[in-house]
Amino acid sequence: MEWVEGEGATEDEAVENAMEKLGASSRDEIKIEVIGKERKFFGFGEEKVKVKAAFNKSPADTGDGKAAEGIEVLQRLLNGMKLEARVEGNREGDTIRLNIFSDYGGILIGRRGETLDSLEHIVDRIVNRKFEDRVNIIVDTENYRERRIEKLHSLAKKLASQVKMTGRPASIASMNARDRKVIHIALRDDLSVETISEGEGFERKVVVSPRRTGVRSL
Amino acid sequence: MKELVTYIAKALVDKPEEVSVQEVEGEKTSVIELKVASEDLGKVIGKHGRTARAMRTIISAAATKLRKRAVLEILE
Repeated sequence: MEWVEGEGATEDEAVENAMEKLGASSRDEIKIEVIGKERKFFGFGEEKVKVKAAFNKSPADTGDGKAAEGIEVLQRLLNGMKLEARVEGNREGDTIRLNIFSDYGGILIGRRGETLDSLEHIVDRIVNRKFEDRVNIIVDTENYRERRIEKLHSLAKKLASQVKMTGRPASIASMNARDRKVIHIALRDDLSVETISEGEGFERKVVVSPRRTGVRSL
Repeated sequence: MKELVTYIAKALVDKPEEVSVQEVEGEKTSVIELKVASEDLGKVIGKHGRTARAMRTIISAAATKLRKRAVLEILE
């Protein structure tokens, strides 16, 4: 639990100040304690109020520390982005699924899921900062992850039939490792094509080519 | 935006007390300058710059909602 201090001329101002430092968007999310009130000039003039504040425990806390931490970290990122959103999460084995509920699906998903992947990466880095009890983090909203897999499956099938028709290799550019894996798996059992990943870093792409049979290969 | 970058950086590094963030706000674009202890530089950049890239994407998304642009500079 991280506490921050806030200051202001009134208690409300001090709380606002503390909320800003925490990245909280509503007073309901935090707990507040007044640390002190000071009057300058022997009781005349300005009053200064100091409070300390920290986030409440997430209501979705299931007693699992890592899942709760994941929810809290993601919630704070979203608050920091000034997007009103709610996070729910659960843990299945080594995997923590975090689901965002908001009206900002488009912004949160981003181009080809780029923003969702970035949120996922940052939550992963923070939650897995300590070595023990490593977990996989999945961040999702509006069922994007599943929709993406379905879309990639049909893309893979389309490409495979194109390759079979033309007999020439075809490639899918700019994909992350997770997307490439979906393509490889989608075409794993298709005996007439084979898939490989080519290129380095962000340039890496999946190439689908006709499968060379034992007889034909030279 | 400054608070967002501060939160992320402090949560990633070993020396949060050495994190400092400055925001230079322009009319359309604001530049956010992040400084961390030299031994923490790798933590905010990440393997192949992945963490820095993720921070930039998140900041851009947040700026989109405000109809602005935001740029993250990591100072060495």
